[in-house]
Amino acid sequence: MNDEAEITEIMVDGVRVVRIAGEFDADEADTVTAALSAARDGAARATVVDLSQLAFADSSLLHALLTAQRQHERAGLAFVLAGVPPLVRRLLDLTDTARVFTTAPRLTAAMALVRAEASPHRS
Amino acid sequence: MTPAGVADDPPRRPATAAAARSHVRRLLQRAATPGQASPQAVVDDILLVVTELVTNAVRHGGGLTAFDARLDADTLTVSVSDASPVPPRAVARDGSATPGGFGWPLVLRLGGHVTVTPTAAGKTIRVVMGAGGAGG
Repeated sequence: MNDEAEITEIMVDGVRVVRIAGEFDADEADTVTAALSAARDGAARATVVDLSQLAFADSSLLHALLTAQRQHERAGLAFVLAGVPPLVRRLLDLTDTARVFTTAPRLTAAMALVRAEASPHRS
Repeated sequence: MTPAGVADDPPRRPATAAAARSHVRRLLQRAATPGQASPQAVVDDILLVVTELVTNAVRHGGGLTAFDARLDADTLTVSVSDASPVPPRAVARDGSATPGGFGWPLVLRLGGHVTVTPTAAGKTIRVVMGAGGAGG
């Protein structure tokens, strides 16, 4: 099994959904960082990263996710990780970075989370 | 697509961390007997350590000069050599949200026994990890 690294992006209701699939290590880090950049066009009000198809990730992907999370936070944009696979969950736990991220079990839950965060009637 | 005779030959120096992972993954799969394959969590940890070591050698160690992985019963020994005598060190982290410096601490955490040995050309990092199935 040698999954090709693949990043796909779609817009759903003003939310940018970036799916990262396959194996990701330092050789793909720059591509991921660019894909997750918060300031790319200002059209999206949030970014959801779908990790459910990720077959491998190392600390460089974690680095890219942390960078993107910080950027989004500074820009006041929501940033949610959806479908975090066990190997990424382990990476977050081992590096004590789990609490930095907002996560959701799957894409639909992530979208609901983003809508709730953006709601002007939040009490 | 693969040249004849190369498929199962261990690369002396994998060109990328992905190639190193493929090699180690095949090594574990070849050794697995029915019902005694390494648990996925163990494989994940091994592949993470292999990736961090090779990435460090390439990006911070002046290049990967040698790579060896061997399995003896339930023990995997991975040796990664590079061209820099500078030992890896954990970059001081100033908080969870700050990116960077995770690779080496991960190796230390997951690698059962880690040694760094200076060589004439640089250094060799050897990691000994359990690769066992149930009870291993």
